[in-house]
Amino acid sequence: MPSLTSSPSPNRRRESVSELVDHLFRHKAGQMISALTRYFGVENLELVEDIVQESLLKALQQWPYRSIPENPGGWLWQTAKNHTLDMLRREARFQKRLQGQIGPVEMEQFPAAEDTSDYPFEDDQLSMMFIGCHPTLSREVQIALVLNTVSGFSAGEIARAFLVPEATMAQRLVRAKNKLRAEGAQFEIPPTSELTERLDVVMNVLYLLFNEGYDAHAGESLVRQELCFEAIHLCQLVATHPVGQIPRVHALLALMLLQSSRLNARTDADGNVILLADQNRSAWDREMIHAGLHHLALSAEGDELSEYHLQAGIAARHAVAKSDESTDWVGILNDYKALLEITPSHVVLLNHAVAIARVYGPEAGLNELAKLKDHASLRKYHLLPATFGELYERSRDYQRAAQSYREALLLTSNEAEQRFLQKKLRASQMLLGSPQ
Amino acid sequence: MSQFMLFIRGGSASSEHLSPQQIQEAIERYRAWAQKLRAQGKLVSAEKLKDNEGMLLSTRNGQIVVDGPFAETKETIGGYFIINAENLAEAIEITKESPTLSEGGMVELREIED
Repeated sequence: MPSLTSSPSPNRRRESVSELVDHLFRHKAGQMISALTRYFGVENLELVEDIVQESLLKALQQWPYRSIPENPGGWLWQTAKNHTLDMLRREARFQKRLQGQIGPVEMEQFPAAEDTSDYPFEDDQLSMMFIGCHPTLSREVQIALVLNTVSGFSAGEIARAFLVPEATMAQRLVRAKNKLRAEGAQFEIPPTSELTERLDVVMNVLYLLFNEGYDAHAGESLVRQELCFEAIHLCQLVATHPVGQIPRVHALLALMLLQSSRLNARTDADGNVILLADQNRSAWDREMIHAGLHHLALSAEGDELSEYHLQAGIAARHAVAKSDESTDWVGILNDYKALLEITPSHVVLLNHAVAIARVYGPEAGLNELAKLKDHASLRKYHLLPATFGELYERSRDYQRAAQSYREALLLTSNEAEQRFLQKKLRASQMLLGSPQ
Repeated sequence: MSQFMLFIRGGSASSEHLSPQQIQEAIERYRAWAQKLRAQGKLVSAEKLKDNEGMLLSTRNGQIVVDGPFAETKETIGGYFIINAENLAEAIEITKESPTLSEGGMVELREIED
């Protein structure tokens, strides 16, 4: 192990090796929790979390005085294994805490792999994801539990991302783990008969996790943006596993990558919203677009057409367009029509109306929007009046545009969105006052 | 040029409630601090001391008395750094930048006699 202090002349190559990858600890925590849960069982999940936490803390106690090991992930895994074996050998008290199943023979077999390179963590992480998405838990809890166990987020970090008090989130996680224990949840890839259904739940959880990060409703944006990248990380895990190599999963991953390519262009330096039409397209992440299109191509194998396919298709049409004007709006409108047949959600209805406005003009869009006015799920959705405002503005009805922006302002508490709507309101009022 | 010894007590290493991400960030802060010192040729050595294994030996009434090992507390010395500095003022500046202080721990700074 190279020492931080042994060599007076810094060895550049070695230093670059000891560089810690972004979120290494978080992701290693998820890997180790998954691998150890396979061994100890879901009923001992909290014990597993203790072992992993102690191993990570050991790194914090040692590495500042030495150097970061050349294989930090391997070091952490080795430490967790040693820690586990020590506890199993030495502490009778610890043995009692285990709920019985582990005999001395199995103890000797633990763990199969010597280091991280030849251990199939992906299997364990996918099994852990199925545990987190256990059908007896609510969606909300499933999302939190996956973040906690597979992604290595603490209760506090999840609480901050979802804007709930830390104690509430911690309690929610404890209750979920108790429930899994009571249900006798098995750590496994579900049998073929259940696989499609269970995989759909996992995909829905990842989709919601991504959206939670993408439509930041309020609060600090940075921690929420991390949710998008974590959803991508998890979806990549699913997509590279044999059971996840199916068109739907590739479509979902394509959707996430294509949408995320615009994350940096969606706001200016002061956090103000920039609409798609006004975004600097050179700020879109080309690498993500490229990866997204790659997975979109993979999703086209077979004849399945899921909502993820259609949404990814729409995102791709935006991603490849050179400008707002040259975007394939007819193609987008057709995609939304197909999407309406699968999921007539309020967001899809609204975007369908916007696409109609782009193809047939603002009046046609306004007619379509008018049909949505009495829709119960849209009554409190600020983007409905905001879209009305946008289309009235385009048809030069600044009176109604201003009125719509005022309505929208009453429905959102997000500061960036409020600033955006205020700006639009002022612009409409100015145009209203000026001779036309 | 003098040498100084920094005894590290507490700080984030004694906090149990850090998330994996926070642990990584704390390690990176130490790494940045130590690397800067090393690049300037100011880091002589550093070692972590083993936990829970220290004891205090003394003589009482002609008998050797052994106290400890002591339970781990925030006041226990976790490890030490030996640094080069022009004078005490510079050593204080270096210590002030150490992550231990920003994390609520303590550093005992002592000059090593030539």
